[in-house]
Amino acid sequence: LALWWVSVYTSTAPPEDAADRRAELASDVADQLGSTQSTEVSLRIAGRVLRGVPADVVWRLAVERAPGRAGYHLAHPATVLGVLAAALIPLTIVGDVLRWPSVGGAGDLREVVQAAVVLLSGAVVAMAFTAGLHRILRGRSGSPVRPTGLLGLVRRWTRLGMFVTWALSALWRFPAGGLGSVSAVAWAACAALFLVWAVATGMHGLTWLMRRSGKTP
Amino acid sequence: VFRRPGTLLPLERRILEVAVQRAPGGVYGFSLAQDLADEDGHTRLVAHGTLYKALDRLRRAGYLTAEWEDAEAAASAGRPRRRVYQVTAEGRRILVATAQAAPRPGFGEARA
Repeated sequence: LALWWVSVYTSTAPPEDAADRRAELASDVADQLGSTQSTEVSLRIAGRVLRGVPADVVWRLAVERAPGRAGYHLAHPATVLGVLAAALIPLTIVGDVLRWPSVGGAGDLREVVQAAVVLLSGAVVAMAFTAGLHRILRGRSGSPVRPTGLLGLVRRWTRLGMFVTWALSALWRFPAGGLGSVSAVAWAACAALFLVWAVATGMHGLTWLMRRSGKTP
Repeated sequence: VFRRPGTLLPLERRILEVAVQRAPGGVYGFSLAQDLADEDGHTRLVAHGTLYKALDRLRRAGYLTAEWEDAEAAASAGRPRRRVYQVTAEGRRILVATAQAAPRPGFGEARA
């Protein structure tokens, strides 16, 4: 958990800061695991991770104030798209639930949620479009967290594709007289990408387990 | 995040105090978390995020220096490398300056 979380919040951070933070956490966790034979040590480490999440987020936001970070995120949009999608997906589900006839008396709330969904999905689509344009005009730039192997590439691109197709689906889902068919096609594309991503992630997990048990495929 | 220069949060003060007590050997993440918990009489260690954000700020402010220990020494001990922090002269100065504003019992005493 600790190593996964540090890899998440340092993803696409400045490489030196990210490498230092990851190595420091790995050392801390190893020291704590070696400090006691108690079976509770894993729970204590998990507690330290969870209690530190707000500080980790604040640290990451402070890192983002450095000059040149906006250009960097245009070249490597995965983190920004991921954060926007993490807010958008639950909000879209709430927006859908509020449309159910059985959920009455939530008219104002429904409008606020639907407006937020349109705003966030517009931001995801605009970010993806701008990053794509940036890539075409400026060319491909090196990423500090480039995935390795075919499975890594498939998981990365299907994940990005899911974010964008979900946003496209959400963008036209609520407005009256909106493009409902566009929303449906985008949602179907998102579901197809999810299936591909789930298969690739399952294969990645199996490969990792086999490597861990010493049976390299 | 936006703070007046020359001010310390309580945790930052305590980190500097421990670093002074542990000089010249220095402190590293887990040992520091243990020392802070011992001081307070707690069994619960400070959260990773809270500890490393404070260390990062103290290092950037010039109150601590950080150096990775020798890779061979860590490998021979069978563990990852530790990042060792040392308090600087500026760190000691700010500790004294802020101690006058917020005295703390036991400050500056050697650890038993």
